[in-house]
Amino acid sequence: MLKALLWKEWQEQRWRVALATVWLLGMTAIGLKTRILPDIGVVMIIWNPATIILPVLLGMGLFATERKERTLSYLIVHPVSRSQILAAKVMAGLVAYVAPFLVCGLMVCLAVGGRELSTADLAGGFVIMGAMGIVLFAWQLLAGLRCRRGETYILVSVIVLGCWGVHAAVVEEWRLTENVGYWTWALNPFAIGNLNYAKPSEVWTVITLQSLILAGLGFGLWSRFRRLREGRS
Amino acid sequence: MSETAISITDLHFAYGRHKILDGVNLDVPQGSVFGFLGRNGAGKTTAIQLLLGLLAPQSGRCSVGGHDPQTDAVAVRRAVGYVAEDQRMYDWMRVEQILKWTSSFYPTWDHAYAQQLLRQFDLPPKGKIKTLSKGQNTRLALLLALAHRPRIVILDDPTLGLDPIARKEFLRSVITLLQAQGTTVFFSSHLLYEIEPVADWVAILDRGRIVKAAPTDELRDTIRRFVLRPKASMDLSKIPGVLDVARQDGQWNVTVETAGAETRAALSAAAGDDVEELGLNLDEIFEAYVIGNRGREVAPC
Repeated sequence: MLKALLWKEWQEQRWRVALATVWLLGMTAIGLKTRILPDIGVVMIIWNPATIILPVLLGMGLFATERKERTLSYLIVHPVSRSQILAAKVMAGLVAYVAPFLVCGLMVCLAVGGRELSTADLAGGFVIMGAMGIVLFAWQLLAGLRCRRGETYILVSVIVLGCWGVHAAVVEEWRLTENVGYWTWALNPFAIGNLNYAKPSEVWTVITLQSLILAGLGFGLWSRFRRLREGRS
Repeated sequence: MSETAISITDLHFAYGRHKILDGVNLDVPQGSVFGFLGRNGAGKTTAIQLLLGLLAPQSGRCSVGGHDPQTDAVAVRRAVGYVAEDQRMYDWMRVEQILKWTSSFYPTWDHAYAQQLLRQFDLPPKGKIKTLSKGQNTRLALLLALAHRPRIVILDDPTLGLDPIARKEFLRSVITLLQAQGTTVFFSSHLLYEIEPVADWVAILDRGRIVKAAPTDELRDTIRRFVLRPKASMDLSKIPGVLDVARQDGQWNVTVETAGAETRAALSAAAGDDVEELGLNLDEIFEAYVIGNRGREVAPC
């Protein structure tokens, strides 16, 4: 049953994966070939926005589009538990998100690893960006689960990003990491993106807190999806 | 037909403060074609969603094929074939793809029967769902609901949006087929002329309550309309089971729930021998229950 659900999700997401891979690969290749910026600059300028935009586009297709087209009400009348439906959607979403980064990351490591940055540094950077994207993806899915339109999902996702942006500004402005503790910044998904510059103890604070948050988001998503009312009265 | 396929006991459901179902009780006999009638917004779809475990009631219980939808929704959906009103499927799939995909959810899926229905319903296996007509879409939804050979089929206004010929064809082919197989059919509709020729049981849902549930023949036999011209003063409140009274040019049409001797005597006392007794069709019976004035708004003459 899970296989059938995954097949359906993959059929719906595959063109987004293909498009994202082509776009990411193309832009990175152009940037690295022309050398208009140092390699690190090219990767940051192309991959950082992709880390933020791609989860929004993928998440939109998982629930909002299905709700808009009223196919989610068709899906949930099948003899399959909501946990399995959600698991298939989340797994498909993660695969669809990770695949373009994995393909492009490998290509970049093979092509320019050791030129300005070591392959290990490049790979580490990609893992960090991917992890940040996954946590943002989870926040957006939880906040946008009830959206019935793609546009609303995008708006909700932008609000989520905005909230974490404001949080980052507040932490910075009030020097909360110094006055209260590093955990005030480690709560923010963008803290994952800054792990390259963090001390070892701070790295563990971020990893622990973000793992707990991710587990909580997963539980929240399951709980909300289980109670989701679909169809008309 | 002695056993119960679907049982609903004191079911309550509300969206916030808006009550949708207010103490619904219903038993659907096994093997029957059960017409579930109600106006638009009466709560038919909500009741069906509760039966399938898609919604949770505030209180009350229901059982479908011996399973409780609240604790074992997957078993209920496995035992039931369901067609929703104006059902939307994945329009990027081909007919053969959705058949294969749906079959993976049902251990009892009968591939040979699915192919037989595919030919019988005249559906193109290679055709994409988005290219199918409304009628073909409904037939495909039905095929998907029947190919696992369910013991109970729940049809929620399945012919909504079809033209009259397609509706007749659908009823003729489907209900007859299911009746012959002894499948219980729970058929919700607001088009009474659709239900009348095929339903052997009928329940009328109005404002969240079942106002009547009985075999169709029994309804036709017991609910009568009396046409009379009262000569003496008549107090309608004394006549038992009055559903509706319509008065026009001195002529009264009194619809009663159970036309017993007491009723006939009360009417004869008021109008003498000038009382005509008429049988009613399902449409008129439904109207009497749902918009009947119970004789309240008619002043005694």
